[in-house]
Amino acid sequence: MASINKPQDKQKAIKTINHLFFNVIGFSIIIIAVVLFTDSKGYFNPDYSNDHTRRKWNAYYKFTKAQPVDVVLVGNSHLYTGISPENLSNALGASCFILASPGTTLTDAYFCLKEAIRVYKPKIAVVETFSMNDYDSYKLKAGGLSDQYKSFSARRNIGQKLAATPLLFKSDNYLSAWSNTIRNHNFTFNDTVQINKNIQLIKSPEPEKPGLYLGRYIRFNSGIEDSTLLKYNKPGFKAYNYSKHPASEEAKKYLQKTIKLCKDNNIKLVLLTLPMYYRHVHNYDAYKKDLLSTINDTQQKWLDLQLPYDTTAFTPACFENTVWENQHMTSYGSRVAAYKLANYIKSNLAGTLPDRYQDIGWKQLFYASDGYFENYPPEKDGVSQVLVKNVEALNGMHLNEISFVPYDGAKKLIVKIDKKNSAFLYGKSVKVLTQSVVNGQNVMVEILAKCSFAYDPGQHYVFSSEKLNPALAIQRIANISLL
Amino acid sequence: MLFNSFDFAIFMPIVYILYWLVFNRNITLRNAFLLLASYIFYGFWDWRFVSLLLFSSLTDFILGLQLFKADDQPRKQKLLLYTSLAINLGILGIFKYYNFFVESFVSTFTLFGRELNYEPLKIILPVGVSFYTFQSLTYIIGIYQRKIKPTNKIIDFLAYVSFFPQLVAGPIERAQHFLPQFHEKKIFNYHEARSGLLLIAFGLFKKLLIADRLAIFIDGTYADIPGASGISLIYATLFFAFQLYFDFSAYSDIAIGTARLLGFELLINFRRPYLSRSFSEFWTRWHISLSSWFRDYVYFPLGGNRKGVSRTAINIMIVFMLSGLWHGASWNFVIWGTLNGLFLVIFDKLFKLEKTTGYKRIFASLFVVLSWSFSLIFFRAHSFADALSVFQHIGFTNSESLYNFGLNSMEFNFVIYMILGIMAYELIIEKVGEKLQEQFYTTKSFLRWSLYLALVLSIIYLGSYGSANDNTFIYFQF
Repeated sequence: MASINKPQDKQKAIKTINHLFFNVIGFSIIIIAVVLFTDSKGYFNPDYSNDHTRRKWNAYYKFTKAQPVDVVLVGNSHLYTGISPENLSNALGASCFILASPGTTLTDAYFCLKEAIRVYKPKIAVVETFSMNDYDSYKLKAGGLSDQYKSFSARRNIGQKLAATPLLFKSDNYLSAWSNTIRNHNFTFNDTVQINKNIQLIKSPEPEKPGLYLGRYIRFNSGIEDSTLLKYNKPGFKAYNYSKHPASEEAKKYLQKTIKLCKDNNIKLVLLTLPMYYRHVHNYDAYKKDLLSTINDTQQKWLDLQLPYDTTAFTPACFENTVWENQHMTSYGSRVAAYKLANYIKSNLAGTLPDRYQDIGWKQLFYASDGYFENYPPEKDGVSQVLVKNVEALNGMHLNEISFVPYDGAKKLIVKIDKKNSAFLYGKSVKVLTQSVVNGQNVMVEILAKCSFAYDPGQHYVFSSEKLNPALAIQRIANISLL
Repeated sequence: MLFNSFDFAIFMPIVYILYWLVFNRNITLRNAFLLLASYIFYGFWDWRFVSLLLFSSLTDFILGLQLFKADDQPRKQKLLLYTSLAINLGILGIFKYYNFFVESFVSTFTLFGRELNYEPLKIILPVGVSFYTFQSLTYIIGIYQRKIKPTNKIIDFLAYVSFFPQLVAGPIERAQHFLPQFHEKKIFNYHEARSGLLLIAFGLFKKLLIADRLAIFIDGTYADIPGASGISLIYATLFFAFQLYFDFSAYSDIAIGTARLLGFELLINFRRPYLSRSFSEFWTRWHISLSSWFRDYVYFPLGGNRKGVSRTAINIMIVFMLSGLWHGASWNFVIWGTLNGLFLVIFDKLFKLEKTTGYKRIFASLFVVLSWSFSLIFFRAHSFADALSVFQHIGFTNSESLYNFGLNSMEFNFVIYMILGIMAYELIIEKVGEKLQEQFYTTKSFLRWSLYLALVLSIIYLGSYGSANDNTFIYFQF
């Protein structure tokens, strides 16, 4: 290397540095443009057909363009399997949307909520606290299709994503988080089928799935089996030990930031702890104490469904049939929890939410969705029937309504009994004898309807039948008896 | 910080811009900046060990000055030299070899029926300690041998020992070659910067397209040696020779390229070693900076080849065993070194490999590469038992597919074509000479830029990277 002695040498050096910078920057722009091109075309997109995380965010962006969202819920898989947003919406007479994805940490929950608020400011935010324990990390898994990346890539605001990137990912994964091409470049060797599928999708994109979608994802339909319950009897067995999964300092920090975020935006925040089966959980007290100390100064509202545990409501049917530590709720359990949350909001945040039942648009959207008829009477829709309304029956109890309504491609019978002057009816059944017509024949049909915590609107008990033959037409109620 | 990391992709341009536009005003300022950058680079791995690097460098700086002052006091000079050796090799001994020697000592007692209780210490091996210790030693030995004068510029010396492009895995630079570069003023040279960038890109190409892809197959095979078929083990053995070469030469290319961007010239570390026709030639082409270090600082002082055939053979064996031990504190590395010493002593003489010409040269090269691959089984295996397991199973056949170890058939074939392609390229360079590379810069700019583009895009689209992969350079562990 020669030395710089003369001013003209220095000028020459600066000139050549500029020349190099110009070339390198120009070259980098070409490289970035090529990557952005393959990103925009989607050649390296993962399989989105089962990507409920992306679907949630897409649905949220679309939904908020036409409708208000009153309650936004963020968290991880415990939340989207643990709360039925349709039932929560119907119970509250509001629009509730779940933006949860698997393995979400509280840091990510904070950024999810921030993005949700940016798009539409809800009245209430709900944060599920299982995210406190940092159960999953943000490592890029083999194949590059981990859900955390999906959640990140599904969000649209560039500024917020830039701010979140260093907090959510390790530096070596920044580019993977931003670019499907970088993340899934291995498809070139390992998944040419997906590349071909993506090329086809460019030519003919898949149509959106129709119907109301509020971010629900049902993973489990059957509860804990008796044989599984026996495993809890094993001496010393601890399925989920909270002392092994303490809240991290980062989680605590972001919980406090979430509280502040909501406060700054004048949004009521509810912390929600969804339960696992009570025999599944150990050392919860320590966790509870930890969480309480984190929110101590904030007077933050916290609905803890784990402790005290409601053994009558949260039966084994509410939980995934597993003793593996990360136990989720079933579809049935998600309804139970939704009503618990709805009743909590009604009694603790009364007046916060508007009554959207009066809003035609809302009613059209939510009509016949899961939990609608359990909360509201059917309209004259040509399909539903109100068979009985406001009569005294069953030993002086007030029978609010018996209706026969469409349900999931079939029909079901709903019996509503006022809670006033009634005994405790959860777990009880009613037998309804009907005079009906099936395929042109007059027949007497006996229908059994059960009262459970799955539909618990507060003011009345709901007895609900199983799915019934859609060809069944009920003429009149002949008799009703409590079993 | 790894060369193939996002951190480095951010770090290097910042350093580069500040270096040339802000800190290149005077030498001390520039070297102080290089020192700071180097310590940040090293601290990314573990800040605590920056102090060890500083301690080692300061010791040699002070001892170097004292050594020079004791010009006419041979006893004092020896004392100072031995102090430096004791401190530098002591650091290596504690951090790298303590557990190994104590365990070997305990095992020896066990052999004689005496049980000794011993709990290994949990010692972290500081990254690059073997490299910077050897580099620092060249300074002290150089002063002792009157080949160089000590520097009284502490910043220059600290920057020399810790120069980040070659700090963690070499090339091991000699003080007489490298230290003067820190005293020079630097003027930006476009052509050197360009060739530096190209070297970096080529290094990343070798690392990400070939070495890291081979690593998937080899790691998969070595993780289940008994379950692997004989053919898989044969492939794993041959592939490892290429993984090691492409991984380490990629590191060296990036190191040389990065240094060149900053106006420094590092020693060439690899010169197409797999085209060697003999083992002695191989060691003049493979990890040149270490081989020549051992030659100059161990082999020659032992007498080299000046004391008869048998003493030469003994000297070679000592050097290779020490070289094995330098690589890692385990008997596997000692065996690996010993095997390579034996190859050199026996095969070179027996088959007169150095004199092969014509088509025989091809067979000689193949023989060298195959023998080298064989020795590397000890290098790659986690333990002696694992290495033996490879030998036990290498002749077996079972139905386990070749494609069950992380690479599908498409990737497997791709990596073979890549190896053949690079070897063909090396063969052309060997025949035509390095001038071909120089001529490349005079070809039409459209062609050159197309090649640059193809190189970078192939790294992005065909490279083996992502969190699922372990992309650490192999020589980082030494």
